[in-house]
Amino acid sequence: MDTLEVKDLHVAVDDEDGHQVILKGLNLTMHTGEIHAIMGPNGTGKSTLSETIMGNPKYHVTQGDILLNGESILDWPVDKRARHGLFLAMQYPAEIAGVTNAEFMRAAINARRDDDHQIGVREFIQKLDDKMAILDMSEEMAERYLNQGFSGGEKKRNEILQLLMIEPPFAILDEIDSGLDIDALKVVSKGVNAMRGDNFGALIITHYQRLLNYIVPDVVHVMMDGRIVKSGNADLAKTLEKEGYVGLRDDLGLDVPLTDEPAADKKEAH
Amino acid sequence: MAFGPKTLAKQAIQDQFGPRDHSAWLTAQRLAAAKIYGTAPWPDFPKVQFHAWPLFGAPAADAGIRYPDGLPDQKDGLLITPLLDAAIDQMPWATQYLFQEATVKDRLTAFHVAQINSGLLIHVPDHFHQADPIVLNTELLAGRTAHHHVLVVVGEDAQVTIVDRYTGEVGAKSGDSVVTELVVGAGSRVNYANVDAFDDNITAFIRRQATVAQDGVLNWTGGVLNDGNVLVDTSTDLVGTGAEADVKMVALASGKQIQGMNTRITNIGRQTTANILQHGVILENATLVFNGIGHIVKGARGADAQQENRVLMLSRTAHGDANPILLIDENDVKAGHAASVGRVDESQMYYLMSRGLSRDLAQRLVIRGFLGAVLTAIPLPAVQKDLIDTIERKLIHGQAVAHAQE
Ligand SMILES: Nc1ncnc2c1ncn2[C@@H]1O[C@H](COP(=O)(O)OP(=O)(O)OP(=O)(O)O)[C@@H](O)[C@H]1O
Ligand SMILES: [Mg+2]
Repeated sequence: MDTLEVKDLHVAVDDEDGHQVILKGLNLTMHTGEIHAIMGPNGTGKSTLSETIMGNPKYHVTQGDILLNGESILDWPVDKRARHGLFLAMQYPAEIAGVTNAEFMRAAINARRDDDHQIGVREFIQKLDDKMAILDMSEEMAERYLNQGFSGGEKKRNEILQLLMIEPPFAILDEIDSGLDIDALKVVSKGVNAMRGDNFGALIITHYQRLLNYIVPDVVHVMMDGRIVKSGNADLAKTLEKEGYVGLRDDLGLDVPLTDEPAADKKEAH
Repeated sequence: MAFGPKTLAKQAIQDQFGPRDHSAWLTAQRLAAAKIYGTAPWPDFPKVQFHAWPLFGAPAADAGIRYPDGLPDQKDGLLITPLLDAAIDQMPWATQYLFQEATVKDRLTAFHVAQINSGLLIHVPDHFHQADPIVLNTELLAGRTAHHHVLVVVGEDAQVTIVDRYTGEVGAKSGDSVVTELVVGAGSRVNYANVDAFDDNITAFIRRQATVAQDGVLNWTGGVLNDGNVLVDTSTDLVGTGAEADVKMVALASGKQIQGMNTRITNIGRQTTANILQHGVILENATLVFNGIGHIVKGARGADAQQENRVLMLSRTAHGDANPILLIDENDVKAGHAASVGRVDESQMYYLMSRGLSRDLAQRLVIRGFLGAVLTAIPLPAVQKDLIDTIERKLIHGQAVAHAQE
């Protein structure tokens, strides 16, 4: 069993306006075999958390730690984290012309193997065919340039294809359901469920409870203002879907603006 | 002699080449070139400091040109003959076109023409239609200065693919020149691919000049992958109405070398279409300059001239320039340009690395993608692969050098 721990994580990002603190003491522990979901209002830091775990150099950890099987990975560059078992299906994957999807996935698989055990062409093609079949993807997608000109939905599917090909112990899926039609949502969920098992753990970030009907989580976390403010079982997602975040925020006495209510100054005027 | 002789004595040229030339006409051309050499201006390569380069090698008696794969089969009327052995006077197409496209107006071309010691004449007849490409591999042997001149005349309504590759033997230094003139006849469609991959013992002036007649189409791809200092002038004149040229160049500079490139298309005829795409990569302390020159002359109504020049720099000590130069002397035209000098896109790097690829591998893939727009246009898969492999090898070397400096 592998373990991923996030301890008292504080993260800042440099933007035009200077130094902005986004995560403010976040704690989370996951094991392989578990599916965790994170929900939370826009701008609360969910993507920041996923990018920071993965090692995006834009995000600076100012306090706290991230541990993989007990070892701090803060000093590891992104490629090392990936080779040691982390995978992030990105909200906005990059497009790379001139490099085919298949070529890229083969390089990714081989990056995890030593020179004497590189995956054979036939084995690779067989695996690719199998995984593309699970995701209802046409063969032609493998020979296209990486994400180049892919539709929003095709990009998401392609992220899941990479997940199935690489088979990492831990995957973070950042809004893998956004922009998917209902059939694609089922297909993508089928892909993630195919990974489920003792050797796989996932952190699923979503705004919609619907995804969690297809991929039923073991734990649901609610994130607000750069922290996890509540955790529960799958029913928590259903409650949130019905009631929104306002009630929870007020119960917890948090001072954060939410989009589904009048602006703060208006509220005071009442 | 670094800056070249002040003048070229006519008598010396006469004595050296007169007895060997099989054509009095050719000797006369040499003497005319020698005459203007002393006063002719340098060719214009904006932003490239080349005046002190050792480009003025005294021509060896035997130019030391080798064709490792032999010369292509002469079938279906294709004619290939050594320039110096041919009785040029018997070939009206040769005397009509030689030194007409690559006009002898600058100091380097004049030096070259006066002292040509090797070359080929290639004639592709009207209506020629052969699926197999004509492949020319030319090797310059070390230490024997060559001034090599090639004329390719394609007749009318022909379709032909020509692959023209240059390499140099590693060894003693020399300052060489290669000039190619390419004539695309009316209604012909020519795919021309050239690769220059000289080692660093060769300093070279490379000039290729094409002209395209009415409704002719020239698809030109070039790979500039030399190790030494080179000047490469790639120019096309769209003379006939409706003529088109699509010129795609890829270049890689490494070590301490300087590669200066002018890629020019001149719209002369009406409704002519010009496209230039240049992508280059610079490693270590090298310099790469792309001058993209689009010139629409007065009277070229309905002309279209587009160009894109992009350079990626992989080290802090690399120097790069991408200069779009548009000269427009006619109103009723379309023209556009894009240029950039930048570094490898970090968001692409992050994405590739997030799947476990090392920084070096990710960088090579991003660069391959960046050069892909040109590489995929190269007509012969074997040449494409050869180019990709050469680029890969240079990148790996450049990355190793960078790591050693860290
Ligand atoms: N690279 C960055 N540069 C500047 N600001 C950033 C950057 N990344 C995130 N932020 C800011 O940090 C805050 C949290 O952003 P983040 O993307 O993590 O939110 P999120 O919870 O994923 O939101 P959403 O639900 O809309 O995807 C936002 O205010 C955002 O503008
Ligand atoms: Mg987000």
